[in-house]
Amino acid sequence: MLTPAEITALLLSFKVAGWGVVAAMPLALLLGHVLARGRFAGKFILEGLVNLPLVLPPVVIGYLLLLTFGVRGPLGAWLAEVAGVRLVFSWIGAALATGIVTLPFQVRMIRLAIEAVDPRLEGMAETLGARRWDRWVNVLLPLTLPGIIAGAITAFSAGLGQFGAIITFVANVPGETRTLPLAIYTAIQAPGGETQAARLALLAIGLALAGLCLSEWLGRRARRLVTA
Amino acid sequence: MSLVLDIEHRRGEFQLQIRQTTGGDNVLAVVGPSGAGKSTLLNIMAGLDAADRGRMLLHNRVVFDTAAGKHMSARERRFGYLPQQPLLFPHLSVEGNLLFGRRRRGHPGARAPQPDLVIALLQLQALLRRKPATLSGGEAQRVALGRALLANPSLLLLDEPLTGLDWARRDEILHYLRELKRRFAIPMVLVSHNMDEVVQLADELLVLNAGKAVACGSLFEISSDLALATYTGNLAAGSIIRARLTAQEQGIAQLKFNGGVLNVPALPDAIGTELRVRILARDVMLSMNPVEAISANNILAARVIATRAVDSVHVLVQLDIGGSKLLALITQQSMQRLKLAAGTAVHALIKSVSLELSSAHKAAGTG
Repeated sequence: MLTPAEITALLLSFKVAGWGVVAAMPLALLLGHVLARGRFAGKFILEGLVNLPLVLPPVVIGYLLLLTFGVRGPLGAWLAEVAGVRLVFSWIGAALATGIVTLPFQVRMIRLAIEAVDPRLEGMAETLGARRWDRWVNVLLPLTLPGIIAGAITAFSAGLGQFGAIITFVANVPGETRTLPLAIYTAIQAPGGETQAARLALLAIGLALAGLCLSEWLGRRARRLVTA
Repeated sequence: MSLVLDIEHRRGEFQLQIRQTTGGDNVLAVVGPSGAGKSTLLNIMAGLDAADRGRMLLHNRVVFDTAAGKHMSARERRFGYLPQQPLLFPHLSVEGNLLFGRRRRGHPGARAPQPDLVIALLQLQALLRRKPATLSGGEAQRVALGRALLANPSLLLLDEPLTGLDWARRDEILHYLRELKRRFAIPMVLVSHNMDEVVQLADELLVLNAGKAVACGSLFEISSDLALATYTGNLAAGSIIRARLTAQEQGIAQLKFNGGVLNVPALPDAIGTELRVRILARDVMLSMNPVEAISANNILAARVIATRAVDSVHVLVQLDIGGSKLLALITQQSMQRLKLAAGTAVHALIKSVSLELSSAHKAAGTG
């Protein structure tokens, strides 16, 4: 079915998208919460910033990451010196790029999930003796969990297809940064790679579809839980 | 022991301004037309909203005091709050909801409401495994009440606990609330626009209108206040008197009150039971002479204390009946014909069927 190189690309895609989504989740939870419940001046600016990756060409994101985390970039040089971590040409860099590009998907679903929860429920929990953290973990989190997971799955599905930011930031290194889309691109570029490209493309379509269906199903569950 | 409220709060055009001290040991009913600020006041008391300025003391304990910069959080106040909607946690079972507060309140003492007793009292045994989504309105309200109670509150705040329920459920919840009052002696603040609820539960009355306290005091005194009718509506105006069941024979029960005896249809209560009787002003007729050939069972000698025109047609007359106060709603025309004025001696005719009773039996059969 799949060649070892293709399997490597597939597994790498899972790893990159998975870690990217997981790493971005705490920030997505914070942003989703702030956007759902916060009342402050300039909220629309934060909203715009969060959604920026949706409309910005991924190449630009890759380019900005390269400027920041590149070997000579301010954060890249610091990371290399302090932690000995180099993001360029590394799967970790690919995961970072994926996490940023898919952040809006997560934030959006988390925000919708939190907005669907009656804030008075948390007020009730407080009158019943629950502290802030307790209210968060035992009231808000269980009610928003399906939404959080749906957001993560949507982001993961979208992350599997990330191309522009990855190739710009961490290049196309087999086994390290050559994820599924990059493998498809490489196959199309290579003479006689059409069948391989078609096979991988079908795989990508299947994965994306499965992810969307799962996310939709969870989204429905979430709504049922809250309106119940 | 007392509840001190001194609150100033502004939200847009609306301003709440209250300065009252009440008993704090019994049931305080907060009544008034919608938009009077009842729910706002309750939210502030619960700690879910902070007053702009002022203070609240319960039994000499400072709940908040903006001048002193003191503010107990809703958690620290330990007040049970029952909002209009039950607001149960949808992801927890009925049992999980009931025990939510109790699990967070450390080790409740022996005097605290125990789960077994509360579950039995509110008849929740069959519901424990159910999810809130599957409950009826009355069931959900009972669970919410049980949840608040099991957190061992030092004060129960009830915001229109009977709104949205049908008549049978209303009687049922009312019955439970009366039971709670009797068994646990937890002070309550009851927000209501329904005088029926108030009569059956409250000891004290705080009347709010447009954010201001217009009357405050014992239920029996305030209910016969002429000014109050403006806020409860002419048809709902009526006085509440305390009476004791003294005799029952031939289908007629005798209720003795401070000032006389009322005859009402037989009651299932034991002789000696204390009852609250509500006599609506519109059900009281006035006559200059003692009428004998009339179907009304209660004719009491009275003296006019004061009168107040409530609209272009009607007048409310406040009567003194041997120390008890009664209201009568009559027309301006009748008043002129009878030449009523303060001090005029009259006879008050009360139809026995128009008495509203508040006794434990009323809802005992339901639920």
